[in-house]
Amino acid sequence: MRAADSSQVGEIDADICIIVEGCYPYINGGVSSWIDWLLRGNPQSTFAVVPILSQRESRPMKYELPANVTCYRELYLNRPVTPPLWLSRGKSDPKGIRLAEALTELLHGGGLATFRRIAEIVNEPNHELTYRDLLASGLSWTAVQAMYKSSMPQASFLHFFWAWRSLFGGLFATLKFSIPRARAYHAISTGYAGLLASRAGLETGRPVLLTEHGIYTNERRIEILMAEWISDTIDKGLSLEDDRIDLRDMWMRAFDAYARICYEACDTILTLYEDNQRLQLALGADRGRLQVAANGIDLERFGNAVSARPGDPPTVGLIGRVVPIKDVKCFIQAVYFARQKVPDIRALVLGATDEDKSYFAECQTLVRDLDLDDVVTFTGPVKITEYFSKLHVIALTSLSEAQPLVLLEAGAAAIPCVATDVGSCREIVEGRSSEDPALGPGGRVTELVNPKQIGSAIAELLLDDKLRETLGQALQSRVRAYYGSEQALENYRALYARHTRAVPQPNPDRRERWRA
Amino acid sequence: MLDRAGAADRPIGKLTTLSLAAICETATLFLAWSHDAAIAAALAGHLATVVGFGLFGSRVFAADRILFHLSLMSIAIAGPIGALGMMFVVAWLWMRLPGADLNAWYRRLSGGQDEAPAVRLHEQILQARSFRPGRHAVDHLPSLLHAPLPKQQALLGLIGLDYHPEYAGLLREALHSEEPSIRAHAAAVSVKLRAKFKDELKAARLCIAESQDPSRRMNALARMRAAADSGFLDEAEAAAARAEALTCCSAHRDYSPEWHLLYLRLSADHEQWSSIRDDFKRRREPFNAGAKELYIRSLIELGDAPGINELIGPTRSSSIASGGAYACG
Repeated sequence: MRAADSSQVGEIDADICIIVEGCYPYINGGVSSWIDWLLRGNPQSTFAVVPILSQRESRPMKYELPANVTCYRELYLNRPVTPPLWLSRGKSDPKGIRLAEALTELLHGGGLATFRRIAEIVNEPNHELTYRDLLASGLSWTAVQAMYKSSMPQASFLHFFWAWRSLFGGLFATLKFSIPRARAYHAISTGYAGLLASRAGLETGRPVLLTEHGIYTNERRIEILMAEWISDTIDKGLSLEDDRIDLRDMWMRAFDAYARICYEACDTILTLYEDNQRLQLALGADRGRLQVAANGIDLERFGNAVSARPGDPPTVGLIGRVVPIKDVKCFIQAVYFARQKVPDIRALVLGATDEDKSYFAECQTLVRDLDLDDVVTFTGPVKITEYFSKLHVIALTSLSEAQPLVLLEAGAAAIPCVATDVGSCREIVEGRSSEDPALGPGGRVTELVNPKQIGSAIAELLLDDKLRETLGQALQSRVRAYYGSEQALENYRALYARHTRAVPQPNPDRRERWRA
Repeated sequence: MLDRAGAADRPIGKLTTLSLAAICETATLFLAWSHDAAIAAALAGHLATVVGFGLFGSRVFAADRILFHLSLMSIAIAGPIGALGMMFVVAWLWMRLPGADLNAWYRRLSGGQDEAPAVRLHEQILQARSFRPGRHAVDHLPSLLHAPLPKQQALLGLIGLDYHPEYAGLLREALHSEEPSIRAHAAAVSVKLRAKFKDELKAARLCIAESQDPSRRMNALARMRAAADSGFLDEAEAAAARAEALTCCSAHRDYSPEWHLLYLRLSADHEQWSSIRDDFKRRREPFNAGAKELYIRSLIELGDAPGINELIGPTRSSSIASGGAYACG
């Protein structure tokens, strides 16, 4: 594997390579829209886009790639592997042992240096391992056995084998991918996107940037801890002190390791709001590389939207995809409670309904069960600005958010919000503690999963025109002062300009950081 | 997927195919050796045998590709000797590997639950998988909400996977945690459990409506009760579920002791103490411990002193007579 070397400046596919997992350009949503905004807001730069997907997508892209996207390559984490007809028997493959040792070290606190070693084993010049070698060969069998014996001898080997293939299959896919050549690499999460960006940085010597909306590792941790499909093969009872490593621990340790690798490799680590930095620090990020870069919106576009009039039917809107993380069911229940105080209430759910069809069906059933058929309408994906004239209040009932653009967009249109206390919602609705002058609340912040409280807050705003106007204006002032699109774009232009300057000689500081 | 047991169980087809190949190869060899056929024709005959085995044999050996490929190569290289050799291999496999054992082994590899529970437990103990540390290793769960972040998350994970109503307070506390990631995690757990118990309720209702099997219906009623007690249903929904379960259970309470106990528990949920007391008076058979406990509780709730005295009954009388612990002064 060649050493960090930035002398290939003249042969690049793009200025910035954006690496994103699981959203853009196939799924509508906040992060996808943000990427689209970033690409279009930097017409002076060329971009390569690498979406990381589970497998080849059959559905169409939801976003058209702008003209400055000069390179587009998809990375599939699950690739079919045809095992060889014959497997040699005999002694263990020494390379498999080395691979197992490195992977084991990864699960036990290893970081960028360990990842580099794994990459060197896999992509050793003239002795490169293929994807098939890594997943369906004598070498891989050696690696699986060695890893099992050293890491998880109590767990079920059968379960370990399949978990190993699934988990490290993604890692191997990132190691075997053909990376676009760029002046800088920008990952939009840790996880596999962060891994690929880290590998790119190791191989090219170019800068690596990271922007985290939610904290990917924490979200995976929550999912893994609750996942029913992961077998608990070791009976630990209720003990949280048990040292034995089971499959669930393996999954969490792997994603923790991927985060460590990415944080070590990155030159700059951005997040949308300060609270997120606590988790980044806890996961091993260097405080000196952390920055906050808030999202911005087109103030003009949303600021000119016509607001709903007091005499119109009282309407609350939830702008977002109909998926469990948005807890649309909680919103529907909140509307049920709000209707007890506001009998002529109307509720709009403005967002795509095709991402999780079974959840959408449950929401529709809930609407029927609560007798809200004449109250709640699912509009599907719409142009939000066309609906602002109908909405008196925006509600956000999400379980997890980063910096929801819907609150900023509603705020720009002076529509007050009722939001759950997740992500930066409190910061947006009530302002930071350092806000000077204090602009006042722009709505209400409620507890999570409390439809009664949310319904009560919605009713309060719908019934009081004066209060609604005051809160709406406060939110609009805050959004104009701190969340403008141009300001946010300027931050990224400066960042890209700083990191894409041609470096005539390899940067010794960078190589020093990556040495074992 | 390979079904080696299937292969071992049905060797006749394979042996027949191989013997046909052996016969064709032998005939081709004989004709070539006896100069009745030109070499080219013999080669063509050999090729035809190999191709024919390839086409026909691929279906016969569909469950065992490795054996098929071996056989094809053996016939191609060694003609009749190869075919005969493979016939011995097939017969040997069949005799050496009992089909049932192979089946069990492959089911086990696939993760199917085949072995007896005792066997499984024995293996888990030997592999140090079924071993829990002593009592001192079980942390006081409520204090974990002030522990380091990974422990708090681990606790929430436990609650999400194996919920008991006693954990409801912990979950509520986590929803109000100062740590945003814990609030988000607790919310995710709440949503998951809410959906789970609603699904349980739905499935239980469906089972009661469709199934005539008493044990399945009883199990469904118990799940309905658990969903109502979980704290994740609305009050009205939970009350309706309990009432429904009680109505259904009343009709079958005499079916078995387990049904009877469930009926008593549901009645206690509805504080129908009179019903419980009357039910005991109606029945004359001995009660199990759980039922007796509910009967005693109903007497206490109703303040039925004579009933309590009757329950204690002979023990008390004999104690008084003998000047025992219950004797009055």
